[in-house]
Amino acid sequence: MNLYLQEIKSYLKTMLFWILGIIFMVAAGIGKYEAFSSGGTQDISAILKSLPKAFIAIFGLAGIPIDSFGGFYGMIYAYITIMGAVFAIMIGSGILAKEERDKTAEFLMVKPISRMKILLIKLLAASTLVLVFVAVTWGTSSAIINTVSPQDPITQEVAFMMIALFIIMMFYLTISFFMAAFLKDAKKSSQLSLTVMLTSYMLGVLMGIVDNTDFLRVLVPFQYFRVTELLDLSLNPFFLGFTVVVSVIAIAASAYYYPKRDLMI
Amino acid sequence: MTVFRFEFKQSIRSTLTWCFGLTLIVLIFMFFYPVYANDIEIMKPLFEQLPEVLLRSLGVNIETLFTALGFYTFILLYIQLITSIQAIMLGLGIVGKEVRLKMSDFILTKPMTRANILIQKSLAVFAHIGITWVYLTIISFGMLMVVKTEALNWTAFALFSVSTLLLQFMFAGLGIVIAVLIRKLKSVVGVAMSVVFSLFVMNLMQAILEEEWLRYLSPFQWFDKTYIFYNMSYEWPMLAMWALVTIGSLVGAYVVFTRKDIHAV
Repeated sequence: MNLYLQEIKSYLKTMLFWILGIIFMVAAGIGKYEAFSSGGTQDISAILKSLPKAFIAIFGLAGIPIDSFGGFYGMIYAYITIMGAVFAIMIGSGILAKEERDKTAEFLMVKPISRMKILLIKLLAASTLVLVFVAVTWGTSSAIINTVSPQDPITQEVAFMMIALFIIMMFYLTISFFMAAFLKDAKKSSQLSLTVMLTSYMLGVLMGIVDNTDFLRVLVPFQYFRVTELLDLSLNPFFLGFTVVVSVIAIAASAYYYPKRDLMI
Repeated sequence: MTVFRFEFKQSIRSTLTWCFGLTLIVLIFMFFYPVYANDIEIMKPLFEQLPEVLLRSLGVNIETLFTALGFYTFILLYIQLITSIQAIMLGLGIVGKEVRLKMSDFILTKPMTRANILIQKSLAVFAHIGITWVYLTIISFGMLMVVKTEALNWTAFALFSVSTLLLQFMFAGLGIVIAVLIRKLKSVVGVAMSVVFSLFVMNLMQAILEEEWLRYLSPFQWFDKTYIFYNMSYEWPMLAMWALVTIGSLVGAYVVFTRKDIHAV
């Protein structure tokens, strides 16, 4: 429990900074809906549909129908997912590795808790932070949506997007957590997490530009739950299962490797 | 020049990796230009019917957008995202290394002034940035030459290329000043990702926000591709902003680093 509180405390400042960022993003984004919709969204949406795929993709809007309020929020959701992934990777690759990086590993390891327990508590703390991230996004979004569009509060759509956000963040979290648990070198594991994130993002861009690239989807977590599907209130069952299985494997593998590996002191 | 030589050598492998990644992106994406060009032939008449004002607001310039160079500007945003991450990581990594690894006493007890150390380290950062940029420009140019169907607009290509270099310098400067200012810089990747992706998402969100003042705060908007295509020059206020941030960071880093209290451990 001490360790859990300590971990939460050590990320408190970072978390506050991120919360401010999320609130700004959500507030500024949704606040623009009126200006956006009064400018004749129907027209813009019709035009956007006729534009080449590549062109829409540069706005990061591939496959998002912005003619409805839900679709408009989907755009903000897409941006938040990018930030969420960055956040999850930062926490996931940092929370275990920082003991070795900051040379505090000995201090922690001589405490009367097993490594397995350390690992699990840290994972729990990291998951809590992700949960806070999603909760803040959800809360701010609902509050602002209620003031902007009280007659059409899109509660369910937002709920589905937030669940998707949570799943994607946990996916990145567990993967980067595993890399930190498995690799000895903290620098390498965080660089590898960065590479994973950039590669998946770039593949997502490629999928936006080029047709018939659906086979790449499994490599692009941002595309697992598409906004169009979320607006129809469905989570893609295959990718739901896939993310859960991969996350569980990543956690199991972390729990297998971390208690045995050499620590860099 | 010992410090320069040492730091330069230390990062050679990482620069090679970045160059490799950039090669993949440029090659793979430009490879799809012919496909895109085919679609465009069908799209062109559609665009010609649209009113000029609307095209401008969407950032479409019919003459340039459908050329190979126009397609290249799609990718340029992502190339700039990647080179920016590299640049800020170099700045943070090379200048913040001693503090991070708790060995400031080692380098500061050498018979060199702090100014000299900082300048040599900064030069090492800029050398790596320069190499990456030259390489990027060459492969971009080569790839454009391979896929282009009409004459290349040299001025525009030069302006786009140089804008990448300017952004690299800006982010390197930012990295250097952050490394000097923050007392406990822990994770290079974490800081680099949060800073660059925040600014990047801010740039994407500009599609909804459309706030003129926000453009001054988001570096990825400083060298607006549409503006460059229309006017064949940079926007002067934005260039001034660039100079302010870049020079400000470097001078700030110099002033702080030469006088700050640095702890040995």
